[in-house]
Amino acid sequence: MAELLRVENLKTYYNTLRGIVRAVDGVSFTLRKGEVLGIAGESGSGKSTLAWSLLGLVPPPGYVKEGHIYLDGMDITRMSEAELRKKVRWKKISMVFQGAMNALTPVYTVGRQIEEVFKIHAPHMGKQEVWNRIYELLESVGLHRSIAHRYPHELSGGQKQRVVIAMALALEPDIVIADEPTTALDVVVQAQILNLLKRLQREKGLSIILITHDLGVIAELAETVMIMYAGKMVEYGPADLVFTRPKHPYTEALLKAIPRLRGPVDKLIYIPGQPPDLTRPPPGCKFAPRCPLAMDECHEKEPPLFKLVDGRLSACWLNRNEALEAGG
Amino acid sequence: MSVTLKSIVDFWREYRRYPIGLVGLGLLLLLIIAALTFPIFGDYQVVKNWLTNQEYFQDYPRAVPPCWVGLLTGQSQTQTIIAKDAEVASFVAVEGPVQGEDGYVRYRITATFTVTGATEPSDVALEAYMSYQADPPGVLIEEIKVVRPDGKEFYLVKPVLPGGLNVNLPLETVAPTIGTVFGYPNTKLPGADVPFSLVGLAQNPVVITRFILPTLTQEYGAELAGASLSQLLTNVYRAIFSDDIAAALKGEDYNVLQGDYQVIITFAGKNLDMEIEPKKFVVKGSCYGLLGTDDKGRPLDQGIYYGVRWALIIGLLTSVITVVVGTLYGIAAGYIGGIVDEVLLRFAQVVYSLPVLPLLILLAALFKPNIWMIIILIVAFSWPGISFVTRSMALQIKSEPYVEAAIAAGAGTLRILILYILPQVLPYMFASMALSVPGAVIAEASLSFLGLGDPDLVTWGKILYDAQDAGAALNGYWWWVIPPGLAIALVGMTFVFIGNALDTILNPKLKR
Amino acid sequence: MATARAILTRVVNSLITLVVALLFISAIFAVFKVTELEGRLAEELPLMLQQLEQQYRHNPELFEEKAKQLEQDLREKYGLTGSYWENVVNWTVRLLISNLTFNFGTTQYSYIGGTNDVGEILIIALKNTAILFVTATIITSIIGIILGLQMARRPGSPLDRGISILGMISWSLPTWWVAIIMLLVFSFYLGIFPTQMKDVYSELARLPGGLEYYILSIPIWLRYMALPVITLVLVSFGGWAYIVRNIVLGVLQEDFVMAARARGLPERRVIYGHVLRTSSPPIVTYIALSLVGAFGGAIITEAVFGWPGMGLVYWVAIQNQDATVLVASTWVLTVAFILTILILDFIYALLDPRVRVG
Repeated sequence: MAELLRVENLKTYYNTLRGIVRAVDGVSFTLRKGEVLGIAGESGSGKSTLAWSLLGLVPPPGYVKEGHIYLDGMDITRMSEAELRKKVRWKKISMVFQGAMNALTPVYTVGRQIEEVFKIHAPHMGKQEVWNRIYELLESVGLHRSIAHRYPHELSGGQKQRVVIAMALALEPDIVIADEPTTALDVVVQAQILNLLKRLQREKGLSIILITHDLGVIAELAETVMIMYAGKMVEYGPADLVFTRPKHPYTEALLKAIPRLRGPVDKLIYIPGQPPDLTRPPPGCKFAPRCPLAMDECHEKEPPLFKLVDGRLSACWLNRNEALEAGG
Repeated sequence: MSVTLKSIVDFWREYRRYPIGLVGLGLLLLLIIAALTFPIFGDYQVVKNWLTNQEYFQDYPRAVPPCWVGLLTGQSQTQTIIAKDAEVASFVAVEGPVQGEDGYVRYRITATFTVTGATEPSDVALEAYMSYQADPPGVLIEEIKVVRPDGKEFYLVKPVLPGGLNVNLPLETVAPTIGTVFGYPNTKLPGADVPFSLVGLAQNPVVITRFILPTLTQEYGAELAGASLSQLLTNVYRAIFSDDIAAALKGEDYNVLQGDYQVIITFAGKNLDMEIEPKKFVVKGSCYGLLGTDDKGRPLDQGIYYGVRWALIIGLLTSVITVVVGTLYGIAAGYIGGIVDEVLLRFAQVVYSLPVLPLLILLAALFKPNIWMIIILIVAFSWPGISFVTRSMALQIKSEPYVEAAIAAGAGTLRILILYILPQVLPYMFASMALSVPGAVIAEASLSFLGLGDPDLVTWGKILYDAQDAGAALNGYWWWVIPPGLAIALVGMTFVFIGNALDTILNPKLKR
Repeated sequence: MATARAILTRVVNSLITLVVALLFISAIFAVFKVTELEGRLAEELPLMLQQLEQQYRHNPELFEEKAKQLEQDLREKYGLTGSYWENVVNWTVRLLISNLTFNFGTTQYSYIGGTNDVGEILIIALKNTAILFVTATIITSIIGIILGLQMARRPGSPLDRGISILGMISWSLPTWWVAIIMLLVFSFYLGIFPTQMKDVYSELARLPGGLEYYILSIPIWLRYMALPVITLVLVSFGGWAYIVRNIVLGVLQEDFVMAARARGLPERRVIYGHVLRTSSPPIVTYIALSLVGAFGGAIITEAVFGWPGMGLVYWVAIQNQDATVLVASTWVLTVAFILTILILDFIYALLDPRVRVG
């Protein structure tokens, strides 16, 4: 299937007072039409920065140091603000923010905020037409059309999340980035939202980049998974493979840390230590200080992304032997 | 949750990152030093007499700028000389008795001084203990003149007939008596301190019409035609020191004649027996001190210096009490909740909605409070603002799990307030205290400026009140008007800087 | 209907405040008045008693009677018929009524407008004060918002630091002192502006009538208003800009700002339509707050300039110890003040949908 998005060696850094934070340090991947890619990692792993980079929204003092983001024949990293606004944002890629938080401007009704999107991007549409669309969008995410005239503070967390999703689909983009779409929602609502996303993806053939620290969510929705750690991609591959037979120690540790409802009740397993300081990353593999399988080599040399037999990528010296070729 | 030594050290480390806060702290140190050192370097006598005893300042020049102005403008200034008792001898000499051929015994006072500035002294004054008697009774003033550096003699009193003729007549017919000129008993003065003032003489209408005018008309007659009496009245004194007497008299521009001057007063009488003991000699210069003087001669540098301690006391006391009261009120209301909270909140809201200054003015004007009452009044209107914020904080902390746990463990209200809520509110309290000081200082200064401050206190607001009363701004007395306001601003800025640093530390959204 | 309830609550709150203020003002004036009148009574009575004694020296009993009657009459005249506290309450009620009905009586001193009716004087003075204050506030808020926005978008820039420091400095300056300095510089040294602002009336009086008056009077008003307005703006705009900066800075960090940008909205729209719009309720709150402080300072500033407004009225009243005018002015100012705050409260509700529910 057609390749929609190609990210090549993206490096996004933040130039802070404490030093240069290497938030995204050489990440590459592609996204096909209709593919759902889940990006998982702890907070501080760089996943949000990655998402923002795709829209050219990295807040200062952040900047894209190196790399390319190819979308539909354009290189996002080389585009001006005006071009990004006109051609890319919301039209080609849109973003579903954490709706339960402050993703909606508090002083305008929800409908007006969606209307604004049309006014800016589709000024030729008549008012009646726009509002019809708005009602359609709201209904498509399972909300009653009267919601359009409500203010954000009048809605529940779940309703706000649906609104944010509806807003993201307004211009029928090719790619939707969902940044923690179910965090801060209670479990029941979470399930509803996930089902909604699944349905929409099927109906519209959307490509979704799903960013979350919740592996369960990725398992529900994603066909491909990328595990990020300290700004780098450490494992990448089809979701079922990565979750059933992880190749990278970090992925393994993440999976082990998920408490099981059934089975013997044991101690809680967690990953000891902290993610590294991204202004002064350790030499060698970034995960080595916390890795239970670390060898001497791991502390000295950084492992490349090995391409494995089943098509997966994994950045661990342990995978050396299974590798088809280095790099990915 | 207690404030430990470590957290203080941590706090200081954080505070050090903000240059503005450090500037504020430095200024605070300066102010405290100024407030504490007044007894050492300041002149308490000046302050003590400031409000009550005008006479104390009679020797100071009136409304003159500070002497360093001369350095800036390039114009030299005439220094003020105040010589008392033993020092007087270096300026004033007394001669006599001298028996004259015309039968009169004469005594003479000669005062010598130098004018160095581009402006003439604002007065030359002398005070002498005198007693005299003559036989037959009658003490005459033979002459009062100023001998100028250019040798010209400027007569203020000269024996001359009414009408201006100067014929060789016996002295008693043409010379004025001491009573006419000075108002002292002509026949006999048993012993008193007698003051002379050059300005007084030069502006005395009788002296001018009877003596000065005729003498001047003789010398400069034609040039003075058409000048009015009131004009001459003001210009005679200046003419004494000018290089172009006629021009000065007519009110035109002139340059001050610099050099040595002598003021000579000659007394005459038959069988005159006089005792003259000069006690004080004053040349009121064109400048004085570090900050000049006001229209009553009071040295402003002392006033400003002294004002520091009151500004600090008022500012700190007011803001500390306000914040403490407001905080306790707020956390009590927030924590106790329910009806009590409702009532307390409403009350605070009502007080908060009242316009502070008009009410303060009304209260002060009607009841004339002293400074402590004023402080209490200011506090009474200022506490609600803090109480709202601390109430919100208390509400928030109240719902925290550890507080609920403490309650479940049986902790009482007071204990919770002190151990859990207060420590978290403390940093905000300090920031508020700092930020409230400027407002408090300005509030008190405003009341003083309107004349409603404590009447027994010398504060910067009071100094500005006097300035406004004397029309200082419209007369160009910038040295009177600028320093007090700058001082108020300085105190305010000190605390704003400190408060701003504290605020930035506590409010993470504003951190850089 | 929740909105109606919200409106009602606010109005009721304002009314309560007004009532409390009214009681307070009337009571303290009553205390003052009773003390003053008692003093006057204590002076007058002995003198009049002496006269009476002369009159009735042959008839001591009749004298007793007459003396009692005299004291009674005097006390009635001054309204001091009861005990001290009864008198205070009595007078408080009297003043309550006169204040509520805005019936203040007359004064013996001359203020503005050539009238002795306190009510008329206050109307003129209030109008003039409002002109000055409103103009200055509008100009200050415009400058403050524009500057504050720019500062928030470039935190740490020279503009930001400079204006922030300026704001902090002007927070410590008494407005009336700056007024004095302005007079010193512009009226004394440079002679650009007139010195006594109340002279505006004498200049206006020299104008011809009719339409010409209205056209010509404007530049005259402007010339006299200029220095006071410049002073008020100069002292306030720094602090304004700083507060707006902080508010906007806080809002800029909210998620919805990035979300708005992500939607491809032009930056201009994001800043004005979303950021500023969301900042406007707290800014309005700040307007209300700053009114409290700025108001008092502005009144005194008026007095310094001799602007024929409430400031001048206060100044003259204080000099002359004219308690009647003082109380009337305070009451009128309090009413005006509370009304203004109420209006601002409504504007806040209009701007922030989150508070409209109760």
